[in-house]
Amino acid sequence: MSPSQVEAVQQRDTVLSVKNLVTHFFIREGEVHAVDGVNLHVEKGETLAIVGESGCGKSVTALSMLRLIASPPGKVLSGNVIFQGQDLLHMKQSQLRKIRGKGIALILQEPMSSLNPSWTIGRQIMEAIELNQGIKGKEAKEKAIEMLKLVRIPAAESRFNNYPHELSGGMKQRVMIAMALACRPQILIADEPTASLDVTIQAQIMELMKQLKREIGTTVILITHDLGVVAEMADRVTIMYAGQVVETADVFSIFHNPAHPYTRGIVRTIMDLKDKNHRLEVIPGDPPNLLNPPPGCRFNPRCAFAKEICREKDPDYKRVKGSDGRWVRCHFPLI
Amino acid sequence: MKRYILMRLLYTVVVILGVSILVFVITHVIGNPVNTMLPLQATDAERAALKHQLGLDKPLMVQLSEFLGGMFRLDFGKSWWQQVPALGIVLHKIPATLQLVATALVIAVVVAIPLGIIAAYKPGTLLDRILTTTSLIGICLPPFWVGLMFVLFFAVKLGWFYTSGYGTIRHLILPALTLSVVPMGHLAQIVRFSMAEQLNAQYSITARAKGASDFAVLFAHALKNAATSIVTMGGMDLGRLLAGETAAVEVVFGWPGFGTLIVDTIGRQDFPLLQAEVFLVAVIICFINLAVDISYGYFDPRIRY
Repeated sequence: MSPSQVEAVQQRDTVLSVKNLVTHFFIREGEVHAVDGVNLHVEKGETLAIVGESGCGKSVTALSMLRLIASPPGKVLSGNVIFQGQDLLHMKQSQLRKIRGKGIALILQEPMSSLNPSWTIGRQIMEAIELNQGIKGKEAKEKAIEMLKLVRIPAAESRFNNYPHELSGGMKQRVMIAMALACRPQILIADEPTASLDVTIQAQIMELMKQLKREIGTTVILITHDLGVVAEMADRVTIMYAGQVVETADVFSIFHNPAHPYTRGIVRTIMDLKDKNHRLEVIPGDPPNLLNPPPGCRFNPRCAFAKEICREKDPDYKRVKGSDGRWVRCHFPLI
Repeated sequence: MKRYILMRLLYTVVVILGVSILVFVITHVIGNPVNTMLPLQATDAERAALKHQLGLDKPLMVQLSEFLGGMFRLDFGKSWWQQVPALGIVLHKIPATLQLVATALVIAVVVAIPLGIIAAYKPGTLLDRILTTTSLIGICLPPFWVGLMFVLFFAVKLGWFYTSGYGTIRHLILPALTLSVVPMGHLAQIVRFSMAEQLNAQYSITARAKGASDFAVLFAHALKNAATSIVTMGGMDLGRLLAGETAAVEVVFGWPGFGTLIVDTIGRQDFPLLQAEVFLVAVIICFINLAVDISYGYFDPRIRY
């Protein structure tokens, strides 16, 4: 796709758009269709949540955007990731490196293993500052301590010299956030930032992210499977299922007026505490094996509304008629 | 740290004592140096006289206690063969072997580490496959055979180096190269696999995500974490080279070092000399292990003594 064609699809205040992203993993058993035609865009200043079950391709999507997929076995087969008018998937490594960090920063989901165990946390934050803010030495060190204070790490000056194993999981995740913010990114991707933490720490980290977002105003892509977090943090939501985006809408519509049967299914799995007789609903069946996805719509084996065409033809991902920026991948959308 | 080193030194003493006693008992029970030292037609009286002279007619426990007493004064007695203090002979031969082993290890490190890193950086490529296969073959080849092949080709056919002897760099290269083959294979494998593991670790993705160059990820991030495995393998190989693998290679190349000496000593059943050799090898290996363990603390901050 040429830049002009790319431009034509972009919206006014879109800072990042992903088009038809396809990432497969080539393993002994065959080809895993981990991400199969993902489309999404992020608007300036918003928080976009990417939601889906484990293994639906959320993290692979995020890593593919910055070309951080381990290859082999993974390979980004096609697609465009447009940021500042440039396609990240088709640029030189040296150019891409300037966008990683300063343009788009990443917080990974495992704070335990995402920090280098043999470097002090201070040095790791300093590296982010030196690479992305163009300052070095003592000045960078002061900035790093400032970042530790920003993420509310007590006794930041002495913590600076700690190694990751000397910190708790929640503290490590704060360091990860500090490190990502130290890059001064335009977009911050947080990949399940609280998944491996216990519940009280999860709440603290989410609260911190919310505060920082208010203070700094970065655009955030939040990858999660926690609908509670989505309700609290997100402006818009992109729902993924089996390597594809099935629906995108504003957060209110997702919860109150979902268009895709899958979205409706996951929203209904939330407990309504006010309704004493409410039984927890589940979606029957399991997500498909991505080594061999079902023909037609990938959700059809579990869908209560599936008809003949759903088993034969994969629906297009298209704009919902008469809606304001709602997209759905379904032959028979619910709205 | 001080306490740890002190404990380790104490432990070293125990190891050396154990090894020395073991070798002493085995040689004295199995060996019969009198037969080796006297001509075949020697009379029983002559044999008994020599046995008495060497002190081999005393009860084993008495001999052992005399030997241990001497060992604590670093006195292993005189070599039966050369009639000079045994430890002196061994110490005299050590530098030539150290020169050989150090050269071999340097060659192995200089070749294996960069190649292993490149293979880990580009896994699955042709270079990676060639490297993993050849390094495996290198580990499997017996050094004495490799040495003979090198002699045939580089010394006899091409005439670049001397077939044997000691003194110049043209004497040194072939035996050092021969000796470097096995550790080179070991190191290439361990570097390849531990670096690949580190490059796939989450923290390497984190580093790349903040804009670090591949060079920085490889050398500043991953190598330090892979270092403990690499140093462990290097230390083991160094010990193996000093303790045994030099013997065959030194004999093939007529290198007047510790390895040749040990082969001679065993053949002559020169017990005092053998004990001095075993003692020295044990000391060296214990110190290599200590150095390796201390280095862990430098590479991995989770390890503290």
